[in-house]
Amino acid sequence: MESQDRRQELKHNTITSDIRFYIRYYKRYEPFVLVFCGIEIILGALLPLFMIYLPKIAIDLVEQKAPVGHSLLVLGGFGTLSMLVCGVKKSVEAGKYNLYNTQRTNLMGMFFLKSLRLGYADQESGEIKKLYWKVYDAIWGGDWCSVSLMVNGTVNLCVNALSFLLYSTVLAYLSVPVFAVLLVLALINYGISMRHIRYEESLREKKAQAQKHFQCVENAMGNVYGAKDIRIYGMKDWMTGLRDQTLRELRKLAELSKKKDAFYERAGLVLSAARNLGAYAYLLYQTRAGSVSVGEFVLYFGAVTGFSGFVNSMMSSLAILRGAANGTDYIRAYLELPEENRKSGSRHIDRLTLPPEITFQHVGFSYKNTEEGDKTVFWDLNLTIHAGEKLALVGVNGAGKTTLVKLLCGMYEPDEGRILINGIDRNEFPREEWYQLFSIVFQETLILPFTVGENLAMDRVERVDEERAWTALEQAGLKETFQEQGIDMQSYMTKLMTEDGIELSGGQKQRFLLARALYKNAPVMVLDEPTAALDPIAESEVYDHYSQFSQEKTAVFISHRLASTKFSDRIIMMEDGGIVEMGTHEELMDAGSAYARMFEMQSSYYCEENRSG
Amino acid sequence: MTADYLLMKLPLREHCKNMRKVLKYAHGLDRCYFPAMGASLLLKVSVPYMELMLSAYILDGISTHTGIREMLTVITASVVVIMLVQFLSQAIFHRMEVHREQMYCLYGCETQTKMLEMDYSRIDSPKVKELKDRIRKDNNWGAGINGVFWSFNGAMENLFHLIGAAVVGLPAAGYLLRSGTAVVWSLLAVLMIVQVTAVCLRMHFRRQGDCWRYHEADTVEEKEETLCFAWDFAGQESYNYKNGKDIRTYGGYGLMERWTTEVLRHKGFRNAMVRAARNDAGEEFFGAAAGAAANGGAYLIIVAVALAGTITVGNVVRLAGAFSRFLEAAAGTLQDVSRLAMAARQQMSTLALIHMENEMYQGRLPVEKRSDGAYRIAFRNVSFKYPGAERYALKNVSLELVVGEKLAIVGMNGSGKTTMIKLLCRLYDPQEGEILLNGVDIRKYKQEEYSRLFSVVFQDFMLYPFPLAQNVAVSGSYDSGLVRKCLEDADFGERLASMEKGLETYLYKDYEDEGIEISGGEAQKIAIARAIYKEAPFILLDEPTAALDPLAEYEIYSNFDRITGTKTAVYISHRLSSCRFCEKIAVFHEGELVQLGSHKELVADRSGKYYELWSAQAQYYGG
Repeated sequence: MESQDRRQELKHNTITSDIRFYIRYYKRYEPFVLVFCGIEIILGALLPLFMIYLPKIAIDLVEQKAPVGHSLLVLGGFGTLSMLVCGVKKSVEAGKYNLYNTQRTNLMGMFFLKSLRLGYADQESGEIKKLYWKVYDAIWGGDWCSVSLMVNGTVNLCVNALSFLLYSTVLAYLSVPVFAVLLVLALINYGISMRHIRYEESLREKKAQAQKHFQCVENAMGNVYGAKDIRIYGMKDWMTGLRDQTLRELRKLAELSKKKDAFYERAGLVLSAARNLGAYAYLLYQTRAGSVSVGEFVLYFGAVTGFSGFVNSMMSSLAILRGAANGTDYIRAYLELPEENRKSGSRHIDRLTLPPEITFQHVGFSYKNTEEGDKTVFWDLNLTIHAGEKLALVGVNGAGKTTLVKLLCGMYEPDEGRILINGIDRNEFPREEWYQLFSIVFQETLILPFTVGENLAMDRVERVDEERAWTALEQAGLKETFQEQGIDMQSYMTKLMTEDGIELSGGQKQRFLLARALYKNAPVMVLDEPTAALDPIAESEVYDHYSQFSQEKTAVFISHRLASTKFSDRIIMMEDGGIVEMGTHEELMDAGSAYARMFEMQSSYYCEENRSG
Repeated sequence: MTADYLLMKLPLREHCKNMRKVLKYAHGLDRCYFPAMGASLLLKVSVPYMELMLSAYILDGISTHTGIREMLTVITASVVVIMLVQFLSQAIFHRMEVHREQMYCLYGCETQTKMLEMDYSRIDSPKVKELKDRIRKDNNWGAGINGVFWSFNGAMENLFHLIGAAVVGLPAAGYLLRSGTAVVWSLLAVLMIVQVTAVCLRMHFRRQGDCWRYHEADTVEEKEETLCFAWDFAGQESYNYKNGKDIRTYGGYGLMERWTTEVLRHKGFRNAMVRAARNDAGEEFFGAAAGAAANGGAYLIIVAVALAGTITVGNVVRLAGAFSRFLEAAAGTLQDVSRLAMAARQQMSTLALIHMENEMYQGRLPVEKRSDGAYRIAFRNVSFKYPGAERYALKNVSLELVVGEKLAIVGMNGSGKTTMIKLLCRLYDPQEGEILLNGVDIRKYKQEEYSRLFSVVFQDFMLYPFPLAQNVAVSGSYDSGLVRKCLEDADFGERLASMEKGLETYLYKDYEDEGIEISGGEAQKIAIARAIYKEAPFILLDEPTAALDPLAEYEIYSNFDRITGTKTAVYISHRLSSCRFCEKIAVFHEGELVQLGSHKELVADRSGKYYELWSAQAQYYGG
């Protein structure tokens, strides 16, 4: 699809553009973050000056034999000021930390909601799914995620750049040639740091890979669902073997990286030893010559040492920003993905006669960019589901049944052909209204950690219609169980919100999702394998109720249990993306082809019994 | 469980015990880490004091007009020595970082490793669940075991600073005593008061911050105000992109919004956030202010001493530097120790899990190896309740598995079918009755050897994101020919042939991006191949065809005899037609074995449970 072409060229924004993105974001959601950052930058740059001026002032006072009172006043004032600057800087930093992290949660929420505003086919497509996880990592991961690193890295870069300028001024006062020498040393340092950064970056991918492998083994070991298999098959040695193997992988990389760390750090130490030696000698001669006082000696020496420190810090901030910018590019790319248009359409479903008739006209559809390239499911599918008809969809796994359902309910758009409702192209209706037409039970079970009411209505608690909810539960055969256990609409499901939250068994979950579909009471009902987890009695109960709750609805039933076809008006037998047979159970049985063979295969054991018994 | 567990007051003795415990455990993981780190830190800490002494020497040299050549020699020698000390310190440090990262990973997965060997019956027990919940909460804040390393190293470093500062600054005490004027003493008193106050206020805010951090919302109202599911939905347990279908068609967007971004705008959440920011700001303010005050105060006092008496410029720098470092290190030590105490306390739950002992009786009897597979297993009046449950999952079950026989177990959901399998493989021990293998209670056998008797395909079997062959052989080394044959027997041969990397193909994409996604039916076939590969005398299949379509199901049925061969087999299925492969059928109802016999016998009993189940399904096929 078009979104995939766009994805190939993920925009790599400049670091400044990424920083501007966060400025816009925080300006909108929490401007205090920006205010705090600003204060932190200014105070952070001033702070080191206090540290080098304090000894100078002290020595000057002693040298000049200043009166005690005056000295105390100067030093006391200076000390109090530095105390305030220091304290305010740190507390602003802490405030910023809390606020930007809260908005990081907000960003995660926005990103998740964004994924729901995409078309489902987009959300599901391989490229976008990959991007999704990259974005997730960029926001998740606490202080080490892209968002945190960008915020803190930017502030640190500014602080150090500003300090660098301030110190430069101090040093330029001392001597321009000295300043020039220091600048050259800083440049050498820059060169060394860049090499170091590049090396680290070259390892990053491998490190992430090794980390992923380790976590994967960790998850495999800790997954309690596998605990039975682990014991029965004696997998302990296998697992611990894999664990040690991945640990070795991590160790090898850590050794490589730390060895380089040590090497580059040693280079830096040699450089700073040479610098210190030079500074000591130079300042010593200057003091001897009388052009520098003892106090200034201390000041300048502090400035020389500090100066290269800022260069180093600037470099590491820059390295952090370079690494983090990627993650931010992912975030921005995802948030900019085009969304599904759900609102516009010239027609409205409330004008339609319901239940509707739905027609697939020459529908072609293929999955894009799967492992085996594009995979075509339908070439030319033609099918009309008549108003109020009960349709059964059968066929082996992979015949295209579930894809058909996804096309039907609007999760996918046909590549070719059209889907019509009462003869009108469905794209003339707002997608939002199209969704309202369907009550679907999908194969996967989604139970949200919210209240029973919210789960049934899939809406905010204040909009839950309790009476309707109870009716739906009753039809799905859960009312009694719930009432026995004292469960009401306000009870929470799963253990996340309360310790006595409701946990349903597999069969109960299927019934619950059926209840959700019944609550919605939409004109088209689609059930995709709704009885797989049910025992025979419960299964036959669902069958018994099916005709009742599908009354006056257009309904589609998918099941491997062919018994379900008996109460359908028409059976569609699918094979490799095409409809191979169509008709009532009796017609197809008389025809004696694919469907009949399948049915006989499944029923032979039952029938045999019936014949003999 | 008590709320706000980490905030409860603990006697000092308990804190010490916690710290000792966690440090001992960490030390056990890597015996060279702490000693080597200690040496590295000692060297590292000595550097600023050497520099301080050097500065003092230079400044005094300037005032006393010492010869420049002599001074340069001393300076050069000192700078070189300092550099060498730094070399050594950082060399050790970087090497130890590798060790620390390894320890972090190893420790991090100790709880998972524990899951491999813990009694199965305890994994799901309320006690372990509670402990895991505790671990999750304990690790909500802080850096896990790294928090322990960092705070302990910090405390060591500060302690070395105290010593270094004391050694370098000791002469200050002499000056103070000799020429301490009233001004000096009162300055000292003020500085101390400022320091103590700042430290106290800092602790106060830290405590307030902890109250916010470690507070566990336990009322539903509070949770509704403050619980944000953004993280959970976006990527943790609750996430599955497939849920997007439900959310779209059921119009659940608003509901998702309410529980993610909207919570952040709730009054409760905002208040909590502002409170947190305020507490942290308070803590940081007083911490930083105390540091700055120590620095400024030290100069103030030393200058006052210098002005009152005779003290050289060099000594001013030296003593003020030492003094301020001493004060900072004292506050730092206090803080690191309190952090260590908290970090250690947060590890107690993890250690409790790691040290949890198995309770199941471990027999020592070897299981006799028989090539004819003549093992007889009998249930004698077995009753069983799941840990923490009130209802019996199995009640007074007596049943015999005859060698080579195929037994089917049928019944409604929750009737005890799977429980019976779990007891049979001794994942649980029954509370009443016994299970016998060749007449001997299975508890008396070595568990490891007993487990070898069974190949099981559970309903919720698990495959792992590792190579296909390893999944079948459950080992890093395997017999490729045999693995291939087993996969073919399980009807997976065709798919295997289509795989580029064959047996080396990774399953799923978690470990390897090149891995392949498999459908539920394919996974089931691989699980069956794994069962075949094991070649155990008993083969137990729990709903092995649930995810299969009728054709694939038929294939498995047809192969059933080939798969099980002469082995004793137990087969659970909701599709009663499949039971007809079995000579004997056991019908379970509400935990009891209500019927036992061949299909013919059972279906003849019109009032029996089997007939009811059978006809519920058969009616649709009666055509």
